Amino acid sequence: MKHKLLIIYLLALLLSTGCWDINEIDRTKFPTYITIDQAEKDNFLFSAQFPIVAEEAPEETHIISNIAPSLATGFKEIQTRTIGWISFGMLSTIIFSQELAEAGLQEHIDALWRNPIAPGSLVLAISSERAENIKNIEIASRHEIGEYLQFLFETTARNSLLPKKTLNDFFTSFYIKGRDPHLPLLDYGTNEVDIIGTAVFQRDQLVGTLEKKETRALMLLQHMYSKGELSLEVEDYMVNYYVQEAATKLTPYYEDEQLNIKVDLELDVDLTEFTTYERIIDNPQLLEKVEENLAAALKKESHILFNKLQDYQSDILGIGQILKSEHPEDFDAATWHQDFALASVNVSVEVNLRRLGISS
Amino acid sequence: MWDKIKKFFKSESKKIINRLNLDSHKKINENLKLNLNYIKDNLAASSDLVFREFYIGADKNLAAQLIFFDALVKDELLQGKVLKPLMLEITGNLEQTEIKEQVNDTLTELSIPISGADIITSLEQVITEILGGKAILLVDQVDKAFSLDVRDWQGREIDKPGIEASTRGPQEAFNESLQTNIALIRKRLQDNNLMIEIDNIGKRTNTELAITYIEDLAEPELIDRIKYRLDNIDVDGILEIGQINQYLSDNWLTIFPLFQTTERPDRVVGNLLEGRVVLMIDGSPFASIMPTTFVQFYQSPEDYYDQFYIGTALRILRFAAAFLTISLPAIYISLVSFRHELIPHELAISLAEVREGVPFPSYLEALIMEISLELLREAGIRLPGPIGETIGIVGGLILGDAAVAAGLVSPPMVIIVALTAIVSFLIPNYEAAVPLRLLRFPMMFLAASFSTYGIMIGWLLILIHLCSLESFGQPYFAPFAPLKWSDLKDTIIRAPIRLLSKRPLSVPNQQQDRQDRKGEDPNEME
Amino acid sequence: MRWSEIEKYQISNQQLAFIIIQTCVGMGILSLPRVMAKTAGQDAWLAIILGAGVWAVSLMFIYLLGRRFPQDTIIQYSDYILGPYLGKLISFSYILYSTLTTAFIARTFVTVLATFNLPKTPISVTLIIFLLTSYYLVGHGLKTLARIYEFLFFVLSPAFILLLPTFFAVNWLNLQPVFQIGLTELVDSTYETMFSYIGPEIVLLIFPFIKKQDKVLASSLLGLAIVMLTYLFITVIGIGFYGLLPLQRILWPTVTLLKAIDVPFFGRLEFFFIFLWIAVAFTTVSSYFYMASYSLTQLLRFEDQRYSGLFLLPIIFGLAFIPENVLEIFNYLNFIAEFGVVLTLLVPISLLIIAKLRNIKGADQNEA
Repeated sequence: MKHKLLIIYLLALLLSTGCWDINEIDRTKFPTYITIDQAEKDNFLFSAQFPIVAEEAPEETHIISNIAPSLATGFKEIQTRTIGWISFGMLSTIIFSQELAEAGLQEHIDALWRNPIAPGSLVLAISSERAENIKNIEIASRHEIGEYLQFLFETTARNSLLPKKTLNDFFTSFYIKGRDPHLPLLDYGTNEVDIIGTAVFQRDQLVGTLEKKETRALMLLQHMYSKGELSLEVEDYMVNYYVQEAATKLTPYYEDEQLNIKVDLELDVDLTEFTTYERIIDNPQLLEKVEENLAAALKKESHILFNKLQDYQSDILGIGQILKSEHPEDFDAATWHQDFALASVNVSVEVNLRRLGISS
Repeated sequence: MWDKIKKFFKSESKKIINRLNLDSHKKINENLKLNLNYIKDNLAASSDLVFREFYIGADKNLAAQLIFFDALVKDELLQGKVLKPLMLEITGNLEQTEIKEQVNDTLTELSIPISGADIITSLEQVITEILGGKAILLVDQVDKAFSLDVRDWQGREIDKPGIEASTRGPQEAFNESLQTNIALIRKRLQDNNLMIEIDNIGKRTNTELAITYIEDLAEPELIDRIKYRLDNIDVDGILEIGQINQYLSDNWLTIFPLFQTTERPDRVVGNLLEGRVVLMIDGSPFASIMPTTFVQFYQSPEDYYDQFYIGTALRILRFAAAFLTISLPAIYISLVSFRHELIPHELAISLAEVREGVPFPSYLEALIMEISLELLREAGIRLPGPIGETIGIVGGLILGDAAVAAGLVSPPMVIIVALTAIVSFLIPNYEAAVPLRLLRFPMMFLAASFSTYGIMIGWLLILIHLCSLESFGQPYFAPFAPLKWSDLKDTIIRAPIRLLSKRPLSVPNQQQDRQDRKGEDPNEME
Repeated sequence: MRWSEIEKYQISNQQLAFIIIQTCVGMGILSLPRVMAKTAGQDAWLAIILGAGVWAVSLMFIYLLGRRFPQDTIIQYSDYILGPYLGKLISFSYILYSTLTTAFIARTFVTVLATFNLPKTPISVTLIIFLLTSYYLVGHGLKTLARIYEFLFFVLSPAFILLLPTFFAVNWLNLQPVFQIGLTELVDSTYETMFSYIGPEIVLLIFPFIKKQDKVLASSLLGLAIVMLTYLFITVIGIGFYGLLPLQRILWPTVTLLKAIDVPFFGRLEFFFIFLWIAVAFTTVSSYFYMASYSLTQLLRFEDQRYSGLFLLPIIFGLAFIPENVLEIFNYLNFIAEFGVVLTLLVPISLLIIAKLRNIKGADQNEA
């Protein structure tokens, strides 16, 4: 009898387990992007786009905005205005306005970083105008701006020298000593979104921006595997290079109490456009010239980049981290930003032209 | 505790009273009348029981009786080979003493040209022999009986395998006659060590049972254990080998088949060659292989006949199919109702779109669809041939389509259900596929309650159960657990045939080597 | 112990290695990188190797003790060595320790599960399902336990293959400069790693059931080495990927690591990892549950650990609810880990010395 009771108890236990966590997919709302803007008095404007799944619905997407003091609070209120549970599981992009970023981002990303469902590969970006204006853009190719943004970052980061930064990247470079975060900077057009450069941060506050040319220097100095097109105007013609591989060595060292940063950049490039009548194939001088033109241009761009970064006192290249790992006694986290600003930078660039395309 | 639960389920077993509860030592009397009376008393007076009274010798001076069941014997044999020689060809006055001597000497001198003839002495045996379809010859003045094998049992011809069809390999299957089945094995395995021990089982059915093994391969201890457990079966009737399997099982509450039954003689021979023991009974077209491991159900004889790439690829497919049969609906439920993040974004949106308007939660939807699938499948088996095949198509296509059109279920659910149905057919063994089909219901239930956690708990329970099972003391889940490295080459993968030079360790056997690696190089010549 | 019982539960040496791996690797793998980053900094790998070294020494003593009493478990020979009263105290503390460990590890498990998987399901429900599954395993005895651990090792290894992409994204700068750690910090952090290694004490209980007793040390050290490699792997990629300071801000770094990897189509590797980790945690909890129930069986001379398991089940369930939050869970885990270190390091050594001094030996296995 005892055993009979035990079995009945176990069965009852199994049957009594409800489905507490069930959220049917058609009863769930997935915001695809969120924009955050400054609103009045310590409040922020949160705006999110939800795809609408019902076929007979008049619109394909639904944009809901709310003014609240924080992201979680904002979405708690949005929840009461929408049908279906709001899940951050498919969130792909968050856009902050530049104004907001200048005040600091840490408080806004905390809710997402703490949320186990929000993906770590969530892309962060800064818009040069108010971020919510993105809803006014009429994208030609897609109904959903969120989906458009996702593909935009995915393909642009792969094919050009422009950054794509995730929540995880931001979090890591924010907390690590001797490194500052940076995010892509967006500009809204009427029919599209354009990545125009880089927003540079000191800790979590935006301190300046970089233009496309500095951004490409930054990408080459940062990533070994960055691939993309570089165009250069030489005299009266255009040269386009495709970067196959970039090998960078950043060496910070102290000499006579002075911080020096030695930058060695070596590039393997293909030639994709060369708008003159001259032929490279039997002209070694021209080949050298083509290489040197690029080297000189990149050297100049790198110097501009370093000047700007030193102006902003932001070490987005992580030179402090290198110094800390190689000469830990020379690194002082408290004064690092000032030390970096006073460093003297020495850039040397070497370009190797590998292929010419199919024209000689 | 499980022992207690088993005891709780187990009813008090009562000794079955044998109807043939005869005095087994009662000898045949010299007096024919007494013997006949005894037989008539103990054998129910069926109308198909024939007592043919006649006299041996043309001079009609020695009374004899031929007793048999009308339906079981071949009349021509009895007439031509028994009655005719006895009645007509023996001449002269037969003295009583002479007869006795003749009988005591040999049967041939009684002039019965029949190969299967025995002399028996006890009356109990007389009755069992009659029941077994033999004709009994009782002669007056003689205290012995002659059991004549003139049986003529109707049965099927050797047919193609019905449920274990294979593209490659022999197309013969066992049938209901034990003699035929033994012949099919002997034909393939002409080994002087092949032992076939025939015993009877079932108090009332008295079914013939053959224990088959290769004497110098099979572990004697295993054979003893099988015989011991067979001896302990005390039941009135055995109709199919599956019943014996249930009696012999180490764990009779398990859902998994602990012994493999097969209708393919080549599979039986293959298993005999690995040192296993095969049981067959008369009246069942299946042989039962013991001990069995879990992986055996996912192996098909043709794996060994084809090149190993093909065998390996097919086996990987089968294991994947087994996994999907159990967990596909559960995975679908946990994705659609819990873990949407795991679905790619575009797919998630379209899933949500098609699910919009379906009244049931996805687990209920899955449950309804899976149950209807099982209904259809069961109906397909019961319906006569061509209709059975049609019902699958009609049910699958029309019902599924109509359900989607009516908005009762979503199209992805139909895809999932159809897939589970298809993958469950990949498992080459019917009795191994059925438990998996059943297990997917608790799995769906767990997934609906606890999503991926439930699926993992479900799998853990299944795996723990599999690891705890033993088939005649041999670990059922070997060679995975306990891990036997050398056996792994014939499990999920099927290694090239030259590498399979050892018999599997998961089956106890007396000889490890099964092939000589000599001649690996085809150009090598002595 | 009776030979029939030893034979009933006999396991192979290979299985012993798997038992040690599955018992040790459990809760630790989720939080170890964070703990190590805090105490040892970038030299965490050194502390992990040293920690394994200390455990190897401890395993040697356990082995020597086991060879001295080849047919008995710690519950039995502590009686012979220390007399019935003190011996019972030792046995009781082992039972208490393993019961508490089962409870707190199970609690940590449901907490992580509630965080990542089932936020709205009451933890009492997930806990009872978990414990019942574990009880089902424990009820089958050591043989089944060993078999399933063996099998699960190969099923669960993909969990670590999932982490491989992060390995290629490791920033080696984060692990430099090496050998910056001070001696006191090294001792402290080595002590800290030892908590993650608790688990080999199961050998004290299962020693009589191992087939080749002379090779126990080799197979258990092999198990320990694999545990060490696992820990090294996750700590190195944890520190290397995140760096010391960000790592300390992540509660379960090993899971969060996977959030960072962007894999096309299968975007969310952390959920696959959690899915497989359920089984990893299950094996750890089952080991301790087995230890608790089998020691209790031996102490009270039950015929089967099913009864003692049934008795312990509600106790473990109740104990699991003592910690009120994650912080307290970690405190309690540290407390039982210290308890475990004492029981696994100090007790076997002292027992061995006393046994040598008093010249007490167990019956030989061959004589049985």
